[in-house]
Amino acid sequence: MNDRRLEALLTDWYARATSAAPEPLRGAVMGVPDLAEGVGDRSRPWSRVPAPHVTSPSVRFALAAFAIVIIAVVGFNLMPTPGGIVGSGSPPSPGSSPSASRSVLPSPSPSWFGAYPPPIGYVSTDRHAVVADGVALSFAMTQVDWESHEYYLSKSDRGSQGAEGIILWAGFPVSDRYEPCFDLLGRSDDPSVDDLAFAVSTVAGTDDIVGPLDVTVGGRAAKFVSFFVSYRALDNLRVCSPGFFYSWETGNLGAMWDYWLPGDTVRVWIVEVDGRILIIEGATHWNAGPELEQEIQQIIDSIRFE
Amino acid sequence: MHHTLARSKLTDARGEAPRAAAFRSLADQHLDESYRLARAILGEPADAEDATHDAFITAWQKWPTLRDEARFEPWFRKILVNTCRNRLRRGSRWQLRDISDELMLAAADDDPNRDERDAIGRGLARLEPDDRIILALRYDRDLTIDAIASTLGIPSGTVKSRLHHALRRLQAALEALEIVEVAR
Repeated sequence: MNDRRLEALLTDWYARATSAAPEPLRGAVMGVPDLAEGVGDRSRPWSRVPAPHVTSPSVRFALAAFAIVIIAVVGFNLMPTPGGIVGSGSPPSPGSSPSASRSVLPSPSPSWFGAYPPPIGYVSTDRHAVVADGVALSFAMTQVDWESHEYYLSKSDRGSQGAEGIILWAGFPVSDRYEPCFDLLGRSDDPSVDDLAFAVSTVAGTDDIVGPLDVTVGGRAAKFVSFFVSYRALDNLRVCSPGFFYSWETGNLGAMWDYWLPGDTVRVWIVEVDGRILIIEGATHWNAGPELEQEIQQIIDSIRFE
Repeated sequence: MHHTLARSKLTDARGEAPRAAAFRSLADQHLDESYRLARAILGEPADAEDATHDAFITAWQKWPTLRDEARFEPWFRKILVNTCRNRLRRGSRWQLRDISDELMLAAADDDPNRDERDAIGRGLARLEPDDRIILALRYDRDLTIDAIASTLGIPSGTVKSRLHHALRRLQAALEALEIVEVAR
């Protein structure tokens, strides 16, 4: 095939691609200025699935999830041997929300990711153990279709990043993923769980803040905060102000951790385990639905500290 | 004509909410072509929607840097291409896939070029993000070498070189596909 023929085929191939943007996308794009002003439907601006009418922030949050990504941060180390979690394959606690479909109870024997980094691929429905910045824990994976991507896991029912959710666990102050401005400002040491929870609840550019609330994770006392990443967060990009969780990452429009985006709903659990502070996040993107929100809760409920 | 109308709307709206009105007008005008470019680069419709949406959010954030609204198209194209590139490079999740079936190749069964077009789709799916981007800009958007250079922020000579190599790699991918098919 000569170049002219190849170019003609390329042009023809591209010309056959659909050209019209879907109407939900058009509506969402037209609404971006409203969203930035805080007057739009912030939780699911262009979902292809009609969003039910919701007024409660917590319920609206519950309706925001449709997929799950688990991100384990730098320092997310894997247990080298399965010796520590024998027989820990219990199902999620009764408090977890029931899964809508394809639920598989974990087997009695724990499953291990293996050597760092975790192998890329689907994660089995089983109990898995990790050491997150020095804190050993295990969790039960009860749903299928979660994928490992080296240091995080993901699931998206519709193949869209907008339909993902996120769980992140990382130690504080071991991990540097919380604070992209750390290199600029440094970090204060020895915060308490209460200090961190308060800081999360006062981050700039967030709405629908719930908490800090007293909860338990793995049987230990913890603090919980949830918030919606406002489109006003865009105005806070490149802003680094003193305190914990003070920064917004400039590269990916994300807030505080990795690449959270405006439109995401983020839930944060902060727990102290044997003198180490562990922060666990569960977040969902704007196009996510309720099922994966339930899966996030199942995972949190299933956590055990070893 | 279309540009004139859009500019007129912008002028009319300046007294009330100039920034939002300008954004909406230009976004409405360029949304289809933007989505189409995102699909040409990313393939997956849902990914293209996400990328287009993200790019317009970025555009809204960076609006003060758009000094001349008549230059919206090349300004926004840079944002969109960067958004698509970041998405492709973000990790294995965004590795390229064969999008030939997803791009609605509605060729008739008796179309003599159908097999070749299908092969093009499979070949594109095997290219690196930068190759796929530059081919989409040239053969989907039909941009000039200079316009591609401006979009990508590279010299025109580099664009020519990258286009040449992208075509060679596509050709190699097509040949490899033929080998696989013969081997079967």
